[in-house]
Amino acid sequence: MILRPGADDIRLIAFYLGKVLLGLGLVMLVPTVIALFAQEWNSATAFVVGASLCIIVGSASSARFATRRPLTWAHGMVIVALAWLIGAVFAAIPMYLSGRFGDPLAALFEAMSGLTTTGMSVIHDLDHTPLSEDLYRHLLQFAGGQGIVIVVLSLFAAGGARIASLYVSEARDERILPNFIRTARFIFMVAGTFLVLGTTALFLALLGAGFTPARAIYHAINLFFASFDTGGFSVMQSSIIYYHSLSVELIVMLLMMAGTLSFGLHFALWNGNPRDVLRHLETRTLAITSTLFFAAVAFGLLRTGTYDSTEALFRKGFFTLVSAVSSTGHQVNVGDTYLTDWGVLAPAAIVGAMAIGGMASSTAGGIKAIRIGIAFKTLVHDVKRILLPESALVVTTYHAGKRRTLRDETSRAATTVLLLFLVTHLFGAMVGLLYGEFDITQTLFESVSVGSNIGVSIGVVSPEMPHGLMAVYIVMMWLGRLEYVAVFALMGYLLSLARGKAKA
Amino acid sequence: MMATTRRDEPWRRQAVRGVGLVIALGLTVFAIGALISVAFVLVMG
Repeated sequence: MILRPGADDIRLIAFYLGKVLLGLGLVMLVPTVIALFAQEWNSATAFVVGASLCIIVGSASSARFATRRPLTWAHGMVIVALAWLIGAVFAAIPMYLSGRFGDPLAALFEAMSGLTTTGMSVIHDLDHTPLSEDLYRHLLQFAGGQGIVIVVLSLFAAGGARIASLYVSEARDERILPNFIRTARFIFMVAGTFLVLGTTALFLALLGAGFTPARAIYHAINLFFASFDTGGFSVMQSSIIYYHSLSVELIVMLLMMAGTLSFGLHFALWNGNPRDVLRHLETRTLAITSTLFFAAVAFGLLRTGTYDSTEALFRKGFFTLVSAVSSTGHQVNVGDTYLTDWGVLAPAAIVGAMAIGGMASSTAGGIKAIRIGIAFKTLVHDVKRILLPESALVVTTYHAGKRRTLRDETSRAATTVLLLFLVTHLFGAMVGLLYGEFDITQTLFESVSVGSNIGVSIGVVSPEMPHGLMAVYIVMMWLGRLEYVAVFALMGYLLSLARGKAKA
Repeated sequence: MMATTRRDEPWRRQAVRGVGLVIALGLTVFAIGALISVAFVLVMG
């Protein structure tokens, strides 16, 4: 029997959603200040309207529905699923008002792409976007990459135990410290440290590449947000190619790798336990799959004669692979190149790398290496069970923070999410084909890139793309970022609202 | 992952170690990528 949620449940959800909107409004104040300082009046107006709406609605909601009732897992899931959807809608308001998007759907696409750290863009005339709007797009990636609900609620001190369910619902299932506020603070500390060091390193590299100090700092900050949060937005249409700098590419690759490392593993490194990182199932899975994928990329590119030097192979092929695995989406090739010059094998390997994505509990997207590792362990476990005598006890273990025994429920959960990702990728590819403008290579590549929150584009996503496909991609980005569970919980909740039995 | 924190250690020292190890890990990945590139160019180039 399904119980219908009561008024108290709705009140609790509205209270937390209000807090999230309030936080989003505060995020919008940063580009507002920059817009006023840079005398970008049109952008400043858009941000003032957006921030005011968020702050008014958020404050009203959290004041009107104030409650001290504890959260349950169901509440956590519903709040997170709704927060990412409503947050994207409100985040799209200043974007639409800026006049750089054809319609509200395109602005919503950009906002969802930013928050989910996908990094696909449908903005018009990116190269001439005002400073404040560029910063806003990149700040959204930072907020989304760190986990917007956690960012907001840890700032508003909602209470450690109470936000535990939200932390898990945002697809952050790895508990680093016993207290969730301390976990969130550790995440901020890691991000803050990399912000200072990464921005400084990029600033120096850009100075070396001939940028003026003012332009160098502007590009460095945005590049940092896009790289460490594995977002992939860019200040320039040509993405990383614009810089023509090996040192910028190397720093960006390092930041992408740091971003794809789970916060649990950052914690192990901060505490001087590198062996924990090397033994972790996820590290090993990523190492093996990435090596194989890069070997396929190198073989494919040399066979088609696209590149013939080590430097070109490293700067184009290896960079693209790191960008795909980390789910960042920075490009060192124009979109068409994958189609016209890369042959078949290299793009296929990139699709495989994009599908897997990075590590769980990091800023990266995709199926996640831990699920691939568990699925492989499950396969080996099942084969052993078939081959060994029936009386034999087969126990499979793996290392993930500590030695763990492979359990049926872990295997089932990993393979279910893996299957859901694959089905979504195929669905997105099929919808793309319906428009008759793209072939299967293009639609599959783009669908995997969108569904795994990567952002490497083969050219399907553009300001002129079909609206139906844009809407499907928005949902895919939302599903991929929350790894399905929270969205399904929301659907179940809506169903119980409509058909559930009233509580006694 | 639940691990023991070194509460007595200043966070700056932890941060230096953490970032240093991430850079070392990244450089190792670069080296592997470069080695694979060289190997494939030598064999197929």
